[in-house]
Amino acid sequence: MDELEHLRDLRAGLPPARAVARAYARGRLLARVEEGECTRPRRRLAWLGARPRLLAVASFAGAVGLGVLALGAFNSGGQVESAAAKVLHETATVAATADVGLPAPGSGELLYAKTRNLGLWSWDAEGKFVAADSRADGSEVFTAVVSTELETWTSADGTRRVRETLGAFRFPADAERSRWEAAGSPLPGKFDPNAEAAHAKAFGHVLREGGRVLELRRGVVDLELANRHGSGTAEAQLPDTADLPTESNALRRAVHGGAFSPIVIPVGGDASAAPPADPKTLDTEETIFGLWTILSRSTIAPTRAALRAAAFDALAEMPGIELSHSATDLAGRTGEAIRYPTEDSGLRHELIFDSASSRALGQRTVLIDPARGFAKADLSAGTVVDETAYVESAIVDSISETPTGGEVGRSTGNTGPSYRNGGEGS
Amino acid sequence: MNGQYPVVSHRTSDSELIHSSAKAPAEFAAIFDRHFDDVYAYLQRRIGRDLAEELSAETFLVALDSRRDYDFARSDALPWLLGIATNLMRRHWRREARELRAYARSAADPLLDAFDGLEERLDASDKRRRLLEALAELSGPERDALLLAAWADLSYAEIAAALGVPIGTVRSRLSRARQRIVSSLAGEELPSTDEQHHKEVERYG
Repeated sequence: MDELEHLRDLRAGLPPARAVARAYARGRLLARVEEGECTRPRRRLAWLGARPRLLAVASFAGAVGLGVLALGAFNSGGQVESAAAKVLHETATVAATADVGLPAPGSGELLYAKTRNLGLWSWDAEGKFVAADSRADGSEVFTAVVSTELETWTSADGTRRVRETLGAFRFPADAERSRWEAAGSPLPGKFDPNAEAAHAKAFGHVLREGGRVLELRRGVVDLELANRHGSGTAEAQLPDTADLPTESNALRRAVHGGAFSPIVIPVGGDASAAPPADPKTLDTEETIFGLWTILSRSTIAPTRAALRAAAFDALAEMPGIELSHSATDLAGRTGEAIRYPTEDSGLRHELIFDSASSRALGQRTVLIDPARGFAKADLSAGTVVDETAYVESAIVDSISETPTGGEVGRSTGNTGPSYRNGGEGS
Repeated sequence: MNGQYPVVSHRTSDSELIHSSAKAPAEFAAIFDRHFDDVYAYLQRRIGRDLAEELSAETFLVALDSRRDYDFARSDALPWLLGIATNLMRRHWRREARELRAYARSAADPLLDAFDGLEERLDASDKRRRLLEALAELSGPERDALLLAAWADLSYAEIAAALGVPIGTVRSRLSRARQRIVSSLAGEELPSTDEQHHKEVERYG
């Protein structure tokens, strides 16, 4: 008997795959097939349909106006759940000693952060964001998956620069894009200098509060905000983490009890206009998202290593979480994802992280049951309706500096990613 | 029976199926049906049921997404799929080695303990412990090559195709790995492979 024969005997005779695991894997494959086909839209998007009382939680940076996290019950993760718990606990071990956080900006310094985002947006011919539930019959409304890049420079005193650049549009159907072009290709208001009413709404308060517009052109909005209450991102409105406990069970109870509540905004609404959520007891999904937000927030704000570790440990104990290996975020980075489907909403939420470094990479929301999620929007299963990648963060010395050394356009109108119209995937 | 004509079972090759799935992606399900069990069995032996279930599913998602890169000269897709599965395993090399060492030190292999009676089929003595230890001490690329040969019955050429390395590299990795197994079974002390491992990782990613 040679050494290979000895090896062949080792762990031989294990049972075949469980039927449920096989069916689950086959279902995921077929869903991916469907997802691939849905990038070639076949049907006209009628309108973003009503989803009664559906609420959304703003991702910490840039999910402005997007439906994100629906509330409701979710499935048990079964056997996969234990794999998720195992990886999350291991990641907690990494997080406990990982140095992934940033120092607080010192005097004269700023915290720079960049995110890449995708979202399902609806807006009318005047550029006004339109919530699914409030669309008037017969009005001209356009819906597309829109990509944006968001950069922020935040100083120690809370003043900050916010630069948002519009990227590609992906219309769910050719006819939808044709209709939009026929209407003069109106952009969501704050990105269209010609949409005066929408603009006044978006920036009026910025100017009233002492802020100023650094650059404004089609597809680029660049503002300097005088305080922490301006528009652009939601992260400044998140509660501080300083008082959160670092023991995982205590942390879970604290988040569940409303000690770290994400902001709740209506689908299609504007995060800048959303009031901070009242402290309240969170349900399981909200608690999962709250724990995750501690981790995503840590990409842009100083966060204790012990708190990050506790957040991973607490997530590991949450019911209904599944694990996906080799998830890829919007920036093309690979990691692992925990996900929790929501039967009521027809959506699945995926939180992507790198278990080797414990860094939060991004998050996305995928439509898995069109009959329940965006039921009247005529979208296919597999459509990503919201996604954010936390691309970069660093301490810089000025509002025109980036970590790579380049300067981002300020009142020049000729730098930064350019707006490009339509076409992608449509 | 038709009485006149032999019944010919025509089986479309994997490469034909993958080629046609470029235009009709749903046909890729047939590749899943043919090979899922083998991919799962290989992964389960390496990393246990829970991770094997997850990585098996991921393997076919990656395969679907990368099917245009398939070498259509190869009629059997299993080596390609096992290569994808092995790549997905890479981030678990350290965990695999850690668990192998732990199992070698303990009286039993938890992977087997989950199934009553299987433990008894093996010689649960020193030989198994030495094998587990030897596997743990191999570099990741060596372990990949060895277990694709021993547990997936791939040829040298198939392993080379699966791992995307020259066949000479496969030969050298297998040679080193087998030598270590032989040494281990003979009770010899194994030299550290850390340095070698780092070189391999550096060279092959």
